[in-house]
Amino acid sequence: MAQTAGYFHAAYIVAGTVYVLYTLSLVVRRRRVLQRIAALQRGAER
Amino acid sequence: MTTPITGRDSAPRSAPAGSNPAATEAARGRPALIDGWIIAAALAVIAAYVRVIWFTPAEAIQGLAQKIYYLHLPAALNAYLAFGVVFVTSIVYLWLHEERADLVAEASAEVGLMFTTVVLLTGPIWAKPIWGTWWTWDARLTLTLFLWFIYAGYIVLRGAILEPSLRARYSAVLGILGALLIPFIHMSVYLFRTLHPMPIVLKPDRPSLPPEMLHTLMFSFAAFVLVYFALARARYRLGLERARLAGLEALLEGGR
Repeated sequence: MAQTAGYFHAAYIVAGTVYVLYTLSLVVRRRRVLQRIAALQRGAER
Repeated sequence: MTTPITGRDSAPRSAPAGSNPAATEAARGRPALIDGWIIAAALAVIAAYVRVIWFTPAEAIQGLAQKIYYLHLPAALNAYLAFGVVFVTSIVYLWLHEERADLVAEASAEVGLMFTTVVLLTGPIWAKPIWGTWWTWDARLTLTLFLWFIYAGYIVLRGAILEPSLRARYSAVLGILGALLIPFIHMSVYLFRTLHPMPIVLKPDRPSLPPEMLHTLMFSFAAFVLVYFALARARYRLGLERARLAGLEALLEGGR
């Protein structure tokens, strides 16, 4: 059997990193939009 | 989905804070950033990883590198699924001018691009020990790279056009044309001389995988379908909130 464990681990780490980074990007973008909406609503109430 | 689309090109309804979840979250400034679907998808992927690593035998010749398959194929199939949704919702948008269809297409295209990125990263990591090279200009690989560029272009296009109906129309056309590449990608191993392995699951006769490997593959595929659904849903909600923000900004601009 070929010794390919390093490639196996690398692939799983790379894929996991892409999924986590994309999920974080959604979280960050959503937080920014919601904060902007809240700021506009506060400004409109004044 | 209770959050109304206020429209990028229309004024929002001035609903009081608390009348919908997004408004309440926005008013508090502390949104619920991770929802239950994303947590369920993450747990399913962890379970799939555990099954692949500890409960699935390694292939006799390739060794552990063969297990990259449980990551690579579900990502490819989910990219097909995501771009298939773009195809259908883009047609719905062009036909009915339904803004929600455009937002679903936008969400699905972005998640599909993420899956295609995983395909294009994990494929070469498998290819290096098995083929002896990270990349070759094989038909399957090259067409998949083209697919990535088309949907990267789709995302860039959406950011470049400010007029909402024009953006939705142009991106719907690109979304439909991009998805037409998928049958060619799937059939490329039959149509051209390629290095890429022939299908061993999605083929006319029975899958040629041992049952324990096939079950792991199906488990992994199901986990990543859940990932697709959870992330596309989250991205769709982001699109709705962006539309709401644009409506609010338009309303305030108009009031000055």
